[in-house]
Amino acid sequence: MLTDPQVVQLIRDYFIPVAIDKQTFFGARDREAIALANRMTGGRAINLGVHTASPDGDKINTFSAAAQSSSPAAAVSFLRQAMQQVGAAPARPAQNVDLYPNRGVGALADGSVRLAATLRYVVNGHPSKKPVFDSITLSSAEWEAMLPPKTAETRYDVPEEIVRQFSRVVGPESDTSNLLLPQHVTEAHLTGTMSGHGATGTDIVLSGTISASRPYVNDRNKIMPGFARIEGLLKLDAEGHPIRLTMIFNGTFKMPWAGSPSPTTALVEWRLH
Amino acid sequence: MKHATPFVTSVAVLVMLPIIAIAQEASTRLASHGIAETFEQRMSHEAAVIRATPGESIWQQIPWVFSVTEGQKLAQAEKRPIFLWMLDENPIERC
Repeated sequence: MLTDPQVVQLIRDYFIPVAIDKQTFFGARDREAIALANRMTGGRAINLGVHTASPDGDKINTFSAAAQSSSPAAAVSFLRQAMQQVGAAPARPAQNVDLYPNRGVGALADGSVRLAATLRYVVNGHPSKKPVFDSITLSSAEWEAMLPPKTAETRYDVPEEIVRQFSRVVGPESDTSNLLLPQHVTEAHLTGTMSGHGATGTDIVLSGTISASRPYVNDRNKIMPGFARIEGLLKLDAEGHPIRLTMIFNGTFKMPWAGSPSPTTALVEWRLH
Repeated sequence: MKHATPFVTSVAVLVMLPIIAIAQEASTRLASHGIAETFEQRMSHEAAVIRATPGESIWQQIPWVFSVTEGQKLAQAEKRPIFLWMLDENPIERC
Protein backbone atom coordinates (compact mmCIF):
# COMPACT_ATOMS: atom_id res chain seq x y z
CA MET A 1 0.00 0.00 0.00
CA LEU A 2 2.69 2.48 1.03
CA THR A 3 4.80 1.81 -2.04
CA ASP A 4 2.20 3.18 -4.45
CA PRO A 5 2.93 6.80 -5.54
CA GLN A 6 -0.75 7.82 -5.72
CA VAL A 7 -1.47 6.40 -2.27
CA VAL A 8 1.54 8.14 -0.77
CA GLN A 9 0.61 11.43 -2.45
CA LEU A 10 -2.95 11.29 -1.06
CA ILE A 11 -1.67 10.62 2.44
CA ARG A 12 0.90 13.43 2.18
CA ASP A 13 -1.60 15.95 0.85
CA TYR A 14 -4.86 15.27 2.66
CA PHE A 15 -4.23 13.33 5.89
CA ILE A 16 -2.49 13.73 9.19
CA PRO A 17 -0.24 10.67 8.95
CA VAL A 18 0.46 8.97 12.26
CA ALA A 19 2.85 6.02 12.60
CA ILE A 20 2.93 4.14 15.88
CA ASP A 21 5.49 1.59 17.02
CA LYS A 22 3.11 -0.72 18.87
CA GLN A 23 5.69 -2.15 21.24
CA THR A 24 6.95 1.22 22.45
CA PHE A 25 3.43 2.68 22.46
CA PHE A 26 1.90 0.08 24.78
CA GLY A 27 5.09 -0.10 26.82
CA ALA A 28 4.73 3.59 27.71
CA ARG A 29 1.34 2.87 29.38
CA ASP A 30 -0.09 6.25 28.44
CA ARG A 31 -3.77 5.53 29.19
CA GLU A 32 -5.08 8.61 27.39
CA ALA A 33 -3.14 7.78 24.24
CA ILE A 34 -4.12 4.10 24.36
CA ALA A 35 -7.81 5.02 24.76
CA LEU A 36 -7.53 7.39 21.79
CA ALA A 37 -5.78 4.75 19.64
CA ASN A 38 -8.48 2.24 20.53
CA ARG A 39 -11.14 4.75 19.47
CA MET A 40 -9.32 5.43 16.19
CA THR A 41 -9.07 1.72 15.43
CA GLY A 42 -12.42 0.53 16.77
CA GLY A 43 -10.71 -1.28 19.64
CA ARG A 44 -8.08 -2.89 17.42
CA ALA A 45 -5.03 -0.82 18.33
CA ILE A 46 -3.32 -3.95 19.60
CA ASN A 47 -3.35 -5.36 16.05
CA LEU A 48 -1.04 -4.30 13.27
CA GLY A 49 -2.80 -2.44 10.52
CA VAL A 50 -3.87 0.71 8.78
CA HIS A 51 -6.84 2.79 9.85
CA THR A 52 -8.51 6.10 9.09
CA ALA A 53 -10.13 8.27 11.74
CA SER A 54 -11.97 11.57 11.97
CA PRO A 55 -10.31 14.72 13.33
CA ASP A 56 -12.05 13.92 16.64
CA GLY A 57 -10.37 10.54 16.70
CA ASP A 58 -13.33 8.33 15.82
CA LYS A 59 -12.67 5.36 13.58
CA ILE A 60 -13.73 5.70 9.96
CA ASN A 61 -12.42 2.48 8.48
CA THR A 62 -9.75 -0.22 8.63
CA PHE A 63 -7.87 -1.41 5.58
CA SER A 64 -8.01 -5.18 5.30
CA ALA A 65 -4.74 -7.05 5.05
CA ALA A 66 -6.05 -9.01 2.06
CA ALA A 67 -6.75 -5.87 0.05
CA GLN A 68 -3.58 -4.24 1.34
CA SER A 69 -1.42 -6.72 -0.53
CA SER A 70 -3.43 -6.78 -3.71
CA SER A 71 -4.60 -3.47 -5.04
CA PRO A 72 -3.47 0.17 -4.97
CA ALA A 73 -6.94 1.03 -6.31
CA ALA A 74 -8.50 -0.44 -3.17
CA ALA A 75 -6.13 1.66 -1.05
CA VAL A 76 -7.06 4.82 -2.96
CA SER A 77 -10.75 4.04 -2.49
CA PHE A 78 -10.15 3.48 1.23
CA LEU A 79 -8.46 6.88 1.54
CA ARG A 80 -11.05 8.73 -0.54
CA GLN A 81 -13.83 7.36 1.67
CA ALA A 82 -12.25 9.05 4.70
CA MET A 83 -11.62 12.27 2.76
CA GLN A 84 -15.27 12.45 1.70
CA GLN A 85 -16.54 11.71 5.18
CA VAL A 86 -14.45 14.47 6.79
CA GLY A 87 -14.96 16.99 3.98
CA ALA A 88 -12.76 18.83 1.57
CA ALA A 89 -9.62 20.53 2.79
CA PRO A 90 -6.92 21.97 0.57
CA ALA A 91 -3.75 19.99 0.05
CA ARG A 92 -1.18 20.47 2.80
CA PRO A 93 1.88 22.50 1.86
CA ALA A 94 4.70 20.25 0.66
CA GLN A 95 7.08 19.33 3.45
CA ASN A 96 10.64 18.15 3.22
CA VAL A 97 10.92 14.95 5.18
CA ASP A 98 14.11 13.39 6.49
CA LEU A 99 13.23 10.45 8.69
CA TYR A 100 16.85 9.38 8.91
CA PRO A 101 19.17 12.33 9.46
CA ASN A 102 22.79 11.17 9.43
CA ARG A 103 21.88 7.66 8.34
CA GLY A 104 24.69 6.59 6.08
CA VAL A 105 26.20 10.08 5.72
CA GLY A 106 28.73 12.02 7.75
CA ALA A 107 29.37 11.92 11.46
CA LEU A 108 27.40 13.20 14.43
CA ALA A 109 28.79 15.89 16.70
CA ASP A 110 30.28 13.28 19.05
CA GLY A 111 32.11 11.58 16.17
CA SER A 112 29.78 8.58 16.02
CA VAL A 113 28.41 7.39 12.66
CA ARG A 114 25.12 5.76 11.62
CA LEU A 115 25.81 3.24 8.90
CA ALA A 116 22.82 2.71 6.60
CA ALA A 117 21.66 -0.87 6.22
CA THR A 118 19.30 -2.48 3.70
CA LEU A 119 18.41 -6.13 4.20
CA ARG A 120 16.57 -8.55 1.95
CA TYR A 121 15.76 -12.19 1.59
CA VAL A 122 16.83 -13.69 -1.72
CA VAL A 123 13.91 -15.34 -3.51
CA ASN A 124 14.47 -17.44 -6.62
CA GLY A 125 17.93 -15.97 -6.95
CA HIS A 126 16.83 -12.35 -6.71
CA PRO A 127 16.68 -9.94 -3.76
CA SER A 128 13.09 -9.77 -2.48
CA LYS A 129 10.89 -6.75 -3.08
CA LYS A 130 10.45 -6.10 0.63
CA PRO A 131 13.59 -4.51 2.03
CA VAL A 132 14.17 -3.97 5.72
CA PHE A 133 15.78 -0.66 6.68
CA ASP A 134 18.10 -0.34 9.65
CA SER A 135 21.11 1.52 11.02
CA ILE A 136 24.27 0.43 12.76
CA THR A 137 25.56 3.11 15.05
CA LEU A 138 29.26 3.03 15.85
CA SER A 139 30.76 5.29 18.47
CA SER A 140 33.72 7.43 17.55
CA ALA A 141 36.07 4.85 19.10
CA GLU A 142 34.32 1.92 17.36
CA TRP A 143 34.48 3.73 14.02
CA GLU A 144 38.18 4.38 14.58
CA ALA A 145 38.64 0.66 15.21
CA MET A 146 37.41 -0.12 11.68
CA LEU A 147 40.48 1.68 10.33
CA PRO A 148 43.96 0.17 10.03
CA PRO A 149 46.06 0.62 13.14
CA LYS A 150 49.16 2.76 12.76
CA THR A 151 51.31 -0.37 13.03
CA ALA A 152 49.52 -2.26 10.26
CA GLU A 153 51.54 -2.86 7.11
CA THR A 154 49.15 -4.58 4.72
CA ARG A 155 46.61 -6.53 6.78
CA TYR A 156 44.81 -6.10 10.07
CA ASP A 157 41.93 -7.65 11.95
CA VAL A 158 38.97 -5.50 12.95
CA PRO A 159 38.34 -6.16 16.67
CA GLU A 160 35.70 -8.83 17.20
CA GLU A 161 33.54 -6.61 19.40
CA ILE A 162 33.19 -4.23 16.45
CA VAL A 163 32.33 -7.01 13.99
CA ARG A 164 29.61 -8.18 16.40
CA GLN A 165 27.80 -4.87 15.88
CA PHE A 166 26.96 -6.07 12.37
CA SER A 167 24.78 -8.92 13.67
CA ARG A 168 21.73 -6.70 12.95
CA VAL A 169 22.08 -7.28 9.23
CA VAL A 170 22.38 -11.07 9.35
CA GLY A 171 18.63 -11.76 9.59
CA PRO A 172 16.32 -9.68 7.36
CA GLU A 173 13.26 -9.73 9.64
CA SER A 174 11.84 -6.32 10.56
CA ASP A 175 10.32 -7.49 13.86
CA THR A 176 12.89 -6.65 16.51
CA SER A 177 11.95 -9.75 18.50
CA ASN A 178 13.68 -11.69 15.70
CA LEU A 179 16.71 -9.42 15.61
CA LEU A 180 20.16 -10.97 16.02
CA LEU A 181 22.00 -8.86 18.58
CA PRO A 182 25.74 -8.65 19.26
CA GLN A 183 25.34 -10.97 22.25
CA HIS A 184 23.88 -13.64 19.93
CA VAL A 185 27.03 -13.76 17.80
CA THR A 186 28.83 -17.11 17.92
CA GLU A 187 31.61 -16.29 15.49
CA ALA A 188 32.80 -13.06 13.91
CA HIS A 189 35.92 -11.98 12.14
CA LEU A 190 36.78 -9.30 9.65
CA THR A 191 40.14 -8.66 8.03
CA GLY A 192 41.22 -5.52 6.23
CA THR A 193 43.76 -5.70 3.44
CA MET A 194 45.25 -2.40 2.34
CA SER A 195 45.84 -1.72 -1.32
CA GLY A 196 46.37 1.19 -3.65
CA HIS A 197 48.03 3.34 -1.03
CA GLY A 198 49.15 6.54 -2.64
CA ALA A 199 48.66 10.26 -2.96
CA THR A 200 44.94 9.81 -3.63
CA GLY A 201 44.28 7.57 -0.65
CA THR A 202 44.06 3.95 0.40
CA ASP A 203 41.57 1.24 -0.47
CA ILE A 204 40.94 -1.38 2.19
CA VAL A 205 39.34 -4.62 1.09
CA LEU A 206 37.32 -6.15 3.93
CA SER A 207 36.67 -9.87 4.17
CA GLY A 208 35.15 -12.00 6.88
CA THR A 209 32.26 -13.99 8.27
CA ILE A 210 29.71 -13.64 11.03
CA SER A 211 27.45 -16.28 12.60
CA ALA A 212 24.77 -15.76 15.21
CA SER A 213 21.75 -17.51 16.64
CA ARG A 214 19.05 -16.67 19.14
CA PRO A 215 16.05 -18.42 20.64
CA TYR A 216 12.64 -17.71 19.14
CA VAL A 217 10.65 -15.38 21.39
CA ASN A 218 7.56 -17.62 21.49
CA ASP A 219 9.42 -20.89 22.00
CA ARG A 220 12.88 -20.67 23.47
CA ASN A 221 13.63 -24.25 22.47
CA LYS A 222 13.61 -23.15 18.84
CA ILE A 223 16.74 -21.48 17.53
CA MET A 224 17.03 -18.91 14.74
CA PRO A 225 20.51 -19.19 13.21
CA GLY A 226 22.07 -16.75 10.79
CA PHE A 227 25.33 -16.65 8.89
CA ALA A 228 26.87 -14.21 6.46
CA ARG A 229 30.00 -13.91 4.40
CA ILE A 230 31.22 -10.33 4.49
CA GLU A 231 32.89 -8.42 1.69
CA GLY A 232 33.60 -4.74 1.81
CA LEU A 233 35.54 -1.78 0.58
CA LEU A 234 36.63 1.04 2.85
CA LYS A 235 38.14 4.02 1.08
CA LEU A 236 40.42 6.41 2.93
CA ASP A 237 41.66 9.79 1.76
CA ALA A 238 45.38 10.58 1.52
CA GLU A 239 45.43 11.51 5.20
CA GLY A 240 43.85 8.22 6.25
CA HIS A 241 40.36 9.56 6.97
CA PRO A 242 37.42 7.41 5.84
CA ILE A 243 35.45 8.75 2.90
CA ARG A 244 33.32 5.77 1.88
CA LEU A 245 32.36 2.33 3.20
CA THR A 246 30.46 -0.38 1.32
CA MET A 247 29.88 -3.79 2.89
CA ILE A 248 27.87 -6.68 1.51
CA PHE A 249 26.62 -9.56 3.62
CA ASN A 250 25.54 -12.67 1.73
CA GLY A 251 24.28 -15.51 3.87
CA THR A 252 21.34 -17.36 5.33
CA PHE A 253 18.78 -16.98 8.11
CA LYS A 254 16.26 -19.46 9.41
CA MET A 255 12.98 -18.69 11.10
CA PRO A 256 11.69 -21.47 13.40
CA TRP A 257 8.95 -22.61 11.05
CA ALA A 258 11.13 -22.68 7.93
CA GLY A 259 12.22 -26.09 6.73
CA SER A 260 15.67 -24.88 5.76
CA PRO A 261 17.72 -21.67 5.98
CA SER A 262 16.67 -18.92 3.57
CA PRO A 263 19.29 -17.05 1.55
CA THR A 264 19.77 -13.42 2.51
CA THR A 265 21.67 -10.39 1.37
CA ALA A 266 22.38 -7.05 3.00
CA LEU A 267 24.11 -3.80 2.22
CA VAL A 268 25.80 -1.56 4.78
CA GLU A 269 27.05 1.76 3.49
CA TRP A 270 28.35 5.14 4.58
CA ARG A 271 29.91 8.14 2.92
CA LEU A 272 31.51 11.27 4.26
CA HIS A 273 29.35 13.76 2.31
CA MET B 1 33.16 -19.35 21.34
CA LYS B 2 30.93 -21.73 19.36
CA HIS B 3 31.54 -22.37 15.69
CA ALA B 4 29.06 -23.39 13.01
CA THR B 5 28.90 -27.16 12.51
CA PRO B 6 30.08 -28.59 9.15
CA PHE B 7 26.42 -29.45 8.36
CA VAL B 8 25.21 -25.91 9.02
CA THR B 9 28.09 -24.50 6.98
CA SER B 10 27.31 -26.89 4.09
CA VAL B 11 23.63 -25.93 4.08
CA ALA B 12 24.57 -22.24 4.24
CA VAL B 13 26.91 -22.57 1.28
CA LEU B 14 24.27 -24.41 -0.77
CA VAL B 15 21.62 -21.84 0.02
CA MET B 16 24.00 -19.00 -0.84
CA LEU B 17 24.63 -20.24 -4.36
CA PRO B 18 21.85 -18.07 -5.87
CA ILE B 19 23.38 -14.99 -4.25
CA ILE B 20 26.78 -15.77 -5.66
CA ALA B 21 25.05 -16.19 -9.02
CA ILE B 22 23.68 -12.62 -8.78
CA ALA B 23 27.17 -11.26 -8.28
CA GLN B 24 28.57 -13.40 -11.07
CA GLU B 25 25.81 -12.27 -13.42
CA ALA B 26 26.99 -8.66 -13.10
CA SER B 27 30.60 -9.73 -13.66
CA THR B 28 29.67 -11.77 -16.71
CA ARG B 29 27.85 -8.82 -18.27
CA LEU B 30 30.98 -6.72 -18.06
CA ALA B 31 33.25 -9.55 -19.16
CA SER B 32 31.12 -10.08 -22.26
CA HIS B 33 31.98 -6.52 -23.20
CA GLY B 34 35.67 -7.22 -22.75
CA ILE B 35 35.89 -5.20 -19.56
CA ALA B 36 37.61 -6.66 -16.52
CA GLU B 37 35.54 -5.71 -13.51
CA THR B 38 37.42 -4.36 -10.54
CA PHE B 39 36.51 -5.30 -6.99
CA GLU B 40 35.16 -1.80 -6.50
CA GLN B 41 32.93 -2.11 -9.55
CA ARG B 42 31.60 -5.46 -8.38
CA MET B 43 30.82 -4.05 -4.95
CA SER B 44 29.08 -1.12 -6.59
CA HIS B 45 26.94 -3.40 -8.77
CA GLU B 46 25.96 -5.66 -5.89
CA ALA B 47 25.13 -2.64 -3.72
CA ALA B 48 22.86 -1.24 -6.41
CA VAL B 49 20.90 -4.48 -6.52
CA ILE B 50 20.34 -4.50 -2.75
CA ARG B 51 19.81 -0.77 -2.13
CA ALA B 52 16.14 0.26 -1.89
CA THR B 53 14.60 1.66 -5.04
CA PRO B 54 12.81 5.03 -4.86
CA GLY B 55 9.47 3.20 -5.00
CA GLU B 56 10.35 0.93 -2.09
CA SER B 57 11.24 3.84 0.14
CA ILE B 58 8.55 6.27 -1.04
CA TRP B 59 6.67 5.99 2.27
CA GLN B 60 9.66 7.73 3.87
CA GLN B 61 8.52 10.92 2.09
CA ILE B 62 5.40 11.07 4.27
CA PRO B 63 5.69 13.61 7.13
CA TRP B 64 4.79 11.10 9.85
CA VAL B 65 3.72 12.15 13.31
CA PHE B 66 4.76 9.61 15.95
CA SER B 67 2.08 10.34 18.57
CA VAL B 68 -1.67 9.69 18.38
CA THR B 69 -2.48 12.64 20.65
CA GLU B 70 -0.26 15.00 18.66
CA GLY B 71 -1.77 13.65 15.44
CA GLN B 72 -5.30 14.23 16.65
CA LYS B 73 -4.48 17.82 17.67
CA LEU B 74 -3.14 18.47 14.18
CA ALA B 75 -6.15 16.80 12.58
CA GLN B 76 -8.55 18.99 14.55
CA ALA B 77 -6.58 22.12 13.76
CA GLU B 78 -6.41 21.34 10.03
CA LYS B 79 -9.84 19.61 9.83
CA ARG B 80 -8.33 16.56 8.14
CA PRO B 81 -8.76 12.82 8.54
CA ILE B 82 -6.11 10.83 10.34
CA PHE B 83 -4.17 8.03 8.64
CA LEU B 84 -3.01 5.71 11.40
CA TRP B 85 -0.35 3.06 10.78
CA MET B 86 0.17 0.61 13.64
CA LEU B 87 3.51 -1.17 13.24
CA ASP B 88 5.41 -3.81 15.12
CA GLU B 89 8.63 -1.81 14.85
CA ASN B 90 9.89 1.72 15.01
CA PRO B 91 9.55 3.27 11.55
CA ILE B 92 12.56 5.50 12.11
CA GLU B 93 14.71 2.65 13.35
CA ARG B 94 14.44 -0.90 12.03
CA CYS B 95 11.46 -1.53 9.82
